[in-house]
Amino acid sequence: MAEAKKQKQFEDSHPEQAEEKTTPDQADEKNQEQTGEKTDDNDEKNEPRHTDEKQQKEAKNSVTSQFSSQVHDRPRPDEIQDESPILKFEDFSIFYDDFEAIRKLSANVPRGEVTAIIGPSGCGKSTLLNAVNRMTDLIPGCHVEGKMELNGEDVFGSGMDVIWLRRRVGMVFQKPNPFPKSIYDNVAYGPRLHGKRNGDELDELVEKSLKEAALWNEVKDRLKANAMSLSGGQQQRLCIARALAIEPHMVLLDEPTSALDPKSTAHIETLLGEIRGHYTVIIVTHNMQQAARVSDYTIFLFEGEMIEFNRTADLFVNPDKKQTEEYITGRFG
Amino acid sequence: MQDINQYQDTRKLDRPEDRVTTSDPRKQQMEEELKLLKKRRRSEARFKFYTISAVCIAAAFLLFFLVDLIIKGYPALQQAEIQASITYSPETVNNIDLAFPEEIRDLVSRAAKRRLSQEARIAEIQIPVHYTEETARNPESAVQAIQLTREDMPPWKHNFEGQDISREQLIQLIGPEGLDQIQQNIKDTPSLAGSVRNEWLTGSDRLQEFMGGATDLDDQMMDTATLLDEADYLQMGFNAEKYGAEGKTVQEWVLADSHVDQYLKGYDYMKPSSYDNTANAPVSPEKAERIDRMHEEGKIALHFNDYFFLNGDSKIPEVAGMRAAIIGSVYVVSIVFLICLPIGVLTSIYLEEFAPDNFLTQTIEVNINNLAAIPSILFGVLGLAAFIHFFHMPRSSVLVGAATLALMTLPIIIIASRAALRAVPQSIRLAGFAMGATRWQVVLHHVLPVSISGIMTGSIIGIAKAMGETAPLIIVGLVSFVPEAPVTPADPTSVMPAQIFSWWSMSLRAFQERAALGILVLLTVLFILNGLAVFVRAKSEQSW
Repeated sequence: MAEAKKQKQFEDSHPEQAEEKTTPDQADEKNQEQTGEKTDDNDEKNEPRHTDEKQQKEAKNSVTSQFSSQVHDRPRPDEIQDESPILKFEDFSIFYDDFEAIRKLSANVPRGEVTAIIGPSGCGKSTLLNAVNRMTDLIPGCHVEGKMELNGEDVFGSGMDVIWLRRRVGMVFQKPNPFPKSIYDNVAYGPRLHGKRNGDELDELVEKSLKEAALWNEVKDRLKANAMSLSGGQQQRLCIARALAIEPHMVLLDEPTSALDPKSTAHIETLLGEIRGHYTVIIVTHNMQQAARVSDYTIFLFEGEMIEFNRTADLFVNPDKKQTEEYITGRFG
Repeated sequence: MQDINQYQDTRKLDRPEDRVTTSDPRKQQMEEELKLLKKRRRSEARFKFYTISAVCIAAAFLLFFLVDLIIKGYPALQQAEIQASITYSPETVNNIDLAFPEEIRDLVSRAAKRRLSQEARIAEIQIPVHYTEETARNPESAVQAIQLTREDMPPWKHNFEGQDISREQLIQLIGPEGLDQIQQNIKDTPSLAGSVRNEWLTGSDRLQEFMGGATDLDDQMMDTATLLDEADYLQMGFNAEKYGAEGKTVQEWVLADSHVDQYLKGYDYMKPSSYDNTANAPVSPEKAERIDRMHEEGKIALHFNDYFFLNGDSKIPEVAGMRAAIIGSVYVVSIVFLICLPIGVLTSIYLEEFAPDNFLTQTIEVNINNLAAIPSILFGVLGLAAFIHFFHMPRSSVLVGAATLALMTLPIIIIASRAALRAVPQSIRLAGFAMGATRWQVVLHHVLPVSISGIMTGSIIGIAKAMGETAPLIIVGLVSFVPEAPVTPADPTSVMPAQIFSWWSMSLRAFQERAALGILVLLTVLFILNGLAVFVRAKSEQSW
């Protein structure tokens, strides 16, 4: 139902692209056609057109077959089953010295759902995301006011250990940044850091995480290879696997596909669909179609202020605010 | 769609090339542009010429320097040697000149003569031997304690009050060979039994060491041996065991005097013909003729100069070598490395990864950069004031040299390490932090492994600079005559550049070619170090 609604919204806002919105894979095929963009992936060189369709089909099959679908059999890592919001903002502001990057934001991010943050460049999307696991601590002159609570604990409070916080809030960055180590070591790094050193247990965890990130089939024979030898899209999925390996309560994705080609983007969107519900996901994206495709809720930020926060389907179809409507229809931004 | 087509049409009509052909002003402008283009090309060619000339001038300087050094230093790789028949006998051992045929007596190096005379001798001790029936079975019984009195001692020991030398101490000094001699004597002439005779006996290994100039024997032994020496109970006698009682003649290549060497190498200043008054020539015409003749006969020849690499410094040019200086340099530089690497790397990690950006750290940073720019001789002055005068480290020692060079190298290593750490992409650090790593874990797990090659490269270059440094070492006394390689860090030492400096300031011309060869050796070591740095960098280059 939500899917259909989303599609409807899409047809409204992008009439010329209406027919493409059936599955992400097809969407990306379309994108590829439109832009004629070459992929950077080693194993995904541009082939003549007639083989592309078949390839896409195979790729789609392989993507779906890679998921173990065991994700939902396990209890959610945060072990809280009620529907209380996982993240709560109360008059939350972020400052860079005197500049107020986020202005008095109040919102409740729902547990177990995918929430997208959209907005024009420089509106504070990434700043807000970085504040959730306090990566903002690393920026000199950055400080906050107001309150942000994760499962009822004040994130910026004096009782919060930042290592403890980041162990519970995983993060994937805009540019794939695997460690220059082996694939195995990349995924095992987090668990090792947090005290899991048993070999068999680690092996299992690495396999599980790589399956969740839909990378297992591609790398299972070369876990000892350097992560730098993977293609860009594979590297990003590795980064996701790395973030999932510590079983975080929440995963933050900072424009995870903006540096990737359409096919890799499709891979990642599919895997987001698979882990949705098990992990709470916040994704910052420039791509509104992506926000519409992958998210349940959407926050629209403009110049540091939250203009609108609603179910994705509602926000894209019936935006309350004029600014939102103008942005999603591409009139500015 | 319609609009776009219209736009394309208008563009087609307004193509620049169409306009050029039809309108004069455009053509004129085009010509002007072409003129300007020609000018630009000319200026580019000119600039390229300047850059190439700069490279050529630099290369010419370097080439001149290297060729000059090789021409000057290459002859030092060879050294003149003379084939001599040397007669070792009890007579020649006290006047070694007699051991050589008269023809070559004045051609052989003083150092070679001294060495041969030492080799032909052996330390002996004179004691009264009490021969008895027992002696044949147990020679030790023939040795009795002796008493040294005022009369035995030289005149300047006027307040000597006499001392007993125990039997055990004497036996230790005599050693097994001496005891064998006693045993042999009584066996050869059994009639000796019952008599007491003063005999010269071969000394033990420890006595040999003492007479050879060793000072590391235990104190009691030193004192006893010194007393016996002063009382003339010790001597260096002819080594009859090695050459037989009658002596022996041996054919051997021995080192020639540096005059012979320099003359053979054909330097003008050695030739008698370059002097108006041949009495001033270092080699007289007769001697020159003799050398030429022996050279033709093959009795004097230039051989590979292994003395240069096996000997320490000497005042006699033909035996002066670089071994002590090479070992000294390696020793000093290793200690510099051990001091600088941990301190430098930890400092740069703190400044780069941990330190907040405030006035204090900025001050430290500016001052580290200032330190790297300070003339190196000032570090020598600092080393003199701090290490020698305040901490009382031994002057000229390995330790004080290393500490002074470490002061100079530290800023270079810190700057290089900071650059290497800064080159690690921030995204790797962020990834580490986002996984819940502490700052130290991020440094240890991610930053150091990828920056270590850069750190090592910088460090090796810093170390190479320290190895070639002379100025600060002059101040702390490392430019001095040190013939022995250092063993402990407190030993006095020489280093390669200091050795080159002191050879170059020698008046004897024969030292000049050694200095040139020394420079070549130093350059070779530096090239190897720099090559190592390049290798390390290439080997562990990380692509992002």
